This record gives sequence, structure tokens and C-alpha cells, in this order.
Amino acid sequence: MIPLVYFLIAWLVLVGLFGIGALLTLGMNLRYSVATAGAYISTGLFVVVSASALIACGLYIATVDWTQTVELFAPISIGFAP
Amino acid sequence: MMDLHHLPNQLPNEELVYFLRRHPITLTSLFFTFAIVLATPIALAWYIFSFEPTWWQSTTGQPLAVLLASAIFLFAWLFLYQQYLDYYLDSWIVTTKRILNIEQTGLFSRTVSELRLYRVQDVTATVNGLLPTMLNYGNVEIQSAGAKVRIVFEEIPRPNDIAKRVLELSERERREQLDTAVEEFGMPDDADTIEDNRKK
Repeated sequence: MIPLVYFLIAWLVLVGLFGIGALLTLGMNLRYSVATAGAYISTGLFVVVSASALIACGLYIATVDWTQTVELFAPISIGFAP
Repeated sequence: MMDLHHLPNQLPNEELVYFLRRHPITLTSLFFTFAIVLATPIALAWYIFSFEPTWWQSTTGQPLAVLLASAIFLFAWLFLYQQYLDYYLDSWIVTTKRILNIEQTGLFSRTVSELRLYRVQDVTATVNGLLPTMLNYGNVEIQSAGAKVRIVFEEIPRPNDIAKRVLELSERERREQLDTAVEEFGMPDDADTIEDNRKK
């Protein structure tokens, strides 16, 4: 029986890694790209989509009861009674 | 960000002629890869809805599915953006004085090389394949004095037009350099002898 909150913590760690990668990538783009409309549009699109996904996940996560437990390896029913 | 009207180490009277990138069709494989990666959680969701609906309706199954799908999407989205950046930051800039070759390899590796136009000796345009022929994109190889090709414009649109224009610009720049040198230093004393030897 694994507390569901462990998966939330793992997800938060992954989101943290995503955030670091996103910041580094955005920094490289802003530093080295050419100041054209395409650069601004691609940067804005990436930020908006990422933020939307994170906000949507956040709103859903707020509705979940994370004190539950998960049984990942439940006994398998063979399908017949002796 | 780099301003095209204020290039690094800008030379006097230097004007921008071309700002080149790969043809956008080269991004097709990237978007296909992204679509396949995104299809994985979608296929998983379809399987769960079809064969394990009670798992999705449970109070623990749904949050797990949402966490997994969101993690896959976020990293696929970041990967797509990084690969797009790898395409977007590769560029070739042709001005009236020089050629700049900017290559981005990965996220933290960048090479910028420069070739003065008057050093350009040979320009070769190549278009290979059905799609490049139909969409008119290919490579332009620019060579200075020496055996090794210095700069290659890869998969750019209208390679033949670009090659022709680069040659014209290099010839004009060589003439201007020669005129400037003659104005500054005058003709050499043995100019006639040099010319005679050249004709022989």
C-alpha cells in the first residue's frame, strides 16, 4: 500500500526538472536568437502552453484526496472457484 | 537577442543581404516525432476507457493517470521546443562584406564563424532528391582559398539564386578591396611587368 501523496511528490520533482529545463531553454533562446516576430511567438507559445498545462494540473490536483493509498500489486484473480 | 541591423563586429557600410535558415519542411520529422510521443498517453487513455473503466473511475486511478499524462506531455513539449530551437538558432547571414555561419549544436554548444566576402573563391549549389527539387531547397557550399569547404548553407530555400548572389557580392567586394588598396598604396612600380608576366 503506497500513499498517493508519494506519486504527487514524484510528479512535483519531475515538474521541477521541467521548470529548470524550460528556464535554461528560454534563456538560451532569449540570448542567442534573432529579434524577429518568430522568436517572440515561439517563446510566448511555449510559455503559454506550459503554464496552461501546469495550471490545469494544479486545479485538478487541488480536488484530489491525497491521503488515500494505492495498491499497485493487487492479487490477480484467476477466474474460477475450486 | 541579436539585432539584424546591428550585427556583432559590424563593419563600415555593411548592409544585410540575406538572413537564411533551413527550409521549414525540415521540421516535419520533428512534429511527427512529437505526435507519436503524444499519442502514447492518448492510446493508454483509450485502453483504460475501453478495457478498464472501473480503474479510471476509482479515486486513485484517475489522479495517477492525470499525473502520468501531464508529465509525459510537459517533457514532450519541452523536447519539441528544444529541437525547434536547435533548428531556429542555426542561421547564415550574408551581408555586403562577409558571411556569418551560426551553428547551434544541442543546447549549450554554439559555433560562430565568419568569412570575408573577398576571400570567397568558389560557390556551389546542390539540390538532391524529389522533395528538395519540388520545393527548391538544397545546400550551398562556399569555399575560400584552400581545399576544405569553409561554410555550408544547409537545406536553404532557393540555393541557386543564393549562390549566384553570393558570387556577385564576393566579386564586387574583391574589386572594392583592390580599388581601396590602389587608392591607399598606389599602383606598384613594376605593375606593367607583373601584367606582362600574367599574360604570358
